[in-house]
Amino acid sequence: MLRKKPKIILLYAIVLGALIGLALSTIIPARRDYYALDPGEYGQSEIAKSTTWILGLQNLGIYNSLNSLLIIARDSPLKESELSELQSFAGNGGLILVYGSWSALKSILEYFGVIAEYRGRIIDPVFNMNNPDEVIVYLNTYNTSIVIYSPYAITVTETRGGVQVEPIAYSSPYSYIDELPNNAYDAGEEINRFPVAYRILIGNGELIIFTALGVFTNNVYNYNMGFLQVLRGSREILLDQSFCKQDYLLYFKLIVNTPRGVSSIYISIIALVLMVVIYVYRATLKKH
Amino acid sequence: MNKGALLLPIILVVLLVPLNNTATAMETPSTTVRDCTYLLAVLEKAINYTETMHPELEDIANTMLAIHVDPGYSNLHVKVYRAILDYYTIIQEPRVELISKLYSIYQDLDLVNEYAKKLQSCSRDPEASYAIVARLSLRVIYLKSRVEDLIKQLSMSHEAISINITDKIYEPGEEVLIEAIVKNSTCTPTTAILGIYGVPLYQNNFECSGSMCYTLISVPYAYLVKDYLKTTGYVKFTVIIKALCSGVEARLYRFITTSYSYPILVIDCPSITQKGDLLNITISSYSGRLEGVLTVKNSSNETILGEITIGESPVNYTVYVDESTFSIGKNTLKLCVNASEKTLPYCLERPVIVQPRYPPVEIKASQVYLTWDGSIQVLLTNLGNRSLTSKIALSTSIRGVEAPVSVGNLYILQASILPISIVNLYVTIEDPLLIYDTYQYSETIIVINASSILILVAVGSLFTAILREHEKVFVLMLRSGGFSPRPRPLGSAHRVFNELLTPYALGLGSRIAAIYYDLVRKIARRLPQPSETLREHFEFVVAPLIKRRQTRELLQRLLQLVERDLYSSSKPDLREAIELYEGVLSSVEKEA
Repeated sequence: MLRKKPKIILLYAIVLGALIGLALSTIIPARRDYYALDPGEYGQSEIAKSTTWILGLQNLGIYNSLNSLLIIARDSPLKESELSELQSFAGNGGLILVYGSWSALKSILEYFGVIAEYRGRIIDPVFNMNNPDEVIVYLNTYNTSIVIYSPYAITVTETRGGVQVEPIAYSSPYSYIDELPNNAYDAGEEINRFPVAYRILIGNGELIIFTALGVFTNNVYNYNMGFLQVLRGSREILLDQSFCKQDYLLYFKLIVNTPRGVSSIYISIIALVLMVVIYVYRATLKKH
Repeated sequence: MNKGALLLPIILVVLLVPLNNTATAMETPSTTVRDCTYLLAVLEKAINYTETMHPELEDIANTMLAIHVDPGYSNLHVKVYRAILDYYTIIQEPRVELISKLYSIYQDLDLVNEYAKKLQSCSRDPEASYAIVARLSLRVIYLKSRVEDLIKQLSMSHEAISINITDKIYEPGEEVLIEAIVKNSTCTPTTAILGIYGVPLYQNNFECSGSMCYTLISVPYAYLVKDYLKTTGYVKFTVIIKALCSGVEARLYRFITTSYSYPILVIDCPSITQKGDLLNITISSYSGRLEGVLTVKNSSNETILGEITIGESPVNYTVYVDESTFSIGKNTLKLCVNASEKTLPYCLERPVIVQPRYPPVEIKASQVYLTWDGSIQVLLTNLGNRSLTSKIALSTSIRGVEAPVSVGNLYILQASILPISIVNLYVTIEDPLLIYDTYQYSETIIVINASSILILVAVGSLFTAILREHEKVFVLMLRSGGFSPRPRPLGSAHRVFNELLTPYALGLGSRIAAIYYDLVRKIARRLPQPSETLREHFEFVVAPLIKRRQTRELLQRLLQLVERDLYSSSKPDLREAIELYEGVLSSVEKEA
């Protein structure tokens, strides 16, 4: 009996350790731009509270495109298969809003037949939120102003397949393109209003592209809540988090969390941990 | 069970804390722009829009008035954009009543250049910004001419009076004829006022003959308007014609152009002079008679040399280059002339290098000295006939030598008692009458003291020899704290000595030695002391106590085994030692 007990306790300890490790991995904060559980400036935890998270764009088919607004924020190019899903989603009447790095946006624009060139970061010393990176821009179509994070200017050089590209938002006439990227104005840099958002009609739906690193990221989300409400109307908001598949920890945290709180899996894990703890505790009492 | 009850809330708190998120409040923006280059570029854009009357101009001016800028130029910023905004408003619907306002804008447009220069000075790249400033300057000239034309047009459109002034560039002091033709008898021109930047300078009343009224007004001399003129070249004066129309005062505006310039002056003098010399300065004017002040300035002060009147012929001025006026090095002759009738005040500078006048003295000192006593010799020779004094000092000695310098004075100074030393030699030659400047000579020399070297070698050799002889004592002193300031009890050195050697006396852990000591302890009772070898101990202590030869031989063989075990690389067999041990014991028993 004395020889067997340490083995049992060791087994309990291993199981308990594994479960606690699993549980802890879900609560340790993970930082990643555009991540739904990142409460930092460039995370999207604020908008994530009122949206449905999409963990794979291939699952878009289960949502009614006509009643959905898909928000995509990326810092790397999208895959061909993902772009195909977007085309299908928009073609069926879905509304897609995209922002992120130029490499990500370029992949989307080129897929839909828009060839553009990067011009440089837009700085607005006058119309900003006391931070040159948080620029106030005006949306003609929606007759409203929003704050976007780190906008940049592009020039549409060519369109293919008869695609229609329409600028829908502009920076103020006091903004300039930081062509010599030094975060300051240099003589010769153009001061003007520059397009910062484009609308592309795809089938029955449309794609809105903001050439900015953030539109609904935590640092500017509060300024743009009104715009989001106008944009969504009665649509359900789907927040793309499929980029997290590349990181198991981020992906696992998304599975055990939901926009409205802890998922049933998470509760089960907690229950399991507690059960093991109590069992081991009782076994220890019997031994004494 | 209490521990189990505690675990549940702790785990729940840990796991559920991250689920609580909070929202942040929206902040109201208030923009402060500090990028001067950017402000300069926006100003250029606004001025360009002013030229073309771009519809966005009003928005730009209002926005610029709303932002905050650096307090150093915020006043200018506001004045400029307010002038632009006023211009934009008035120019859209110009009316005769707004002539005064236009005149005010005309004056404020000069602030654009001032503001642009201010922004250029604080921009990160002033050279790149210069192009913008230059473009702005041209735009301002154009805008001012437009405002001027508009003022003229509005003035000429006056229904009752028509004004005629000959359009030409007037000379300072020249009289300007102003003609006023009265078209309506209800109006009478009363006064003509000449002014600049809103400041009235001269005024004169009209004299009328029928419908024609005349007055003459002089263009002011340069010395009268020097405070208002910032640059040379053409200057616009405003002529305000006051008239009484049905008892109400009306004002009409005209502009006249005058040219002022800086005088052309030349200062001619040698670029380099020596203290005590006479400096001849020739000053010529190519702009007529001028009055001014000649000064000399240097790093310490500025001294007035005299008030000078320059006529048609050049003025010669001679200055004695003495210590009270000039300093050794760069001095600047500065001639500032007052404004004349046609020229503005002007200052002209010319640098003059004043070299010191050193006494004619020859100093001879070697760079290396090898002497028996560490002394050095310095030879001073006065090559002139003026009496001089000298001060000779060494860096290694507090006391120096003070003596007059004559022909061939040899001074011997004690430099150092060290065998080899590096010494700085300082020689100062002074002129009691201050005709010559004080001459200071310094040299780094190496002094080798032969006596010190010999003494050092001797003492060092002796010390080394002593140390070698007493090395053991020296080490013991170190171990026993002999050099420690704390007093130690007497005999401690001996105790430490024993402590050090005890392991050797006891056989350094050799088992064969242990066997040998066991036997020795039984036979002689006294073990070897640290100060004696095993053989000495055997020979003087153990052997005399053994009677049998066999016992002595066996013990001696065991001693040899001990020595081999202790000091040889080929170790003996322990069993052989045990056999010898038993043999000795057996032999001792037989002996007993």
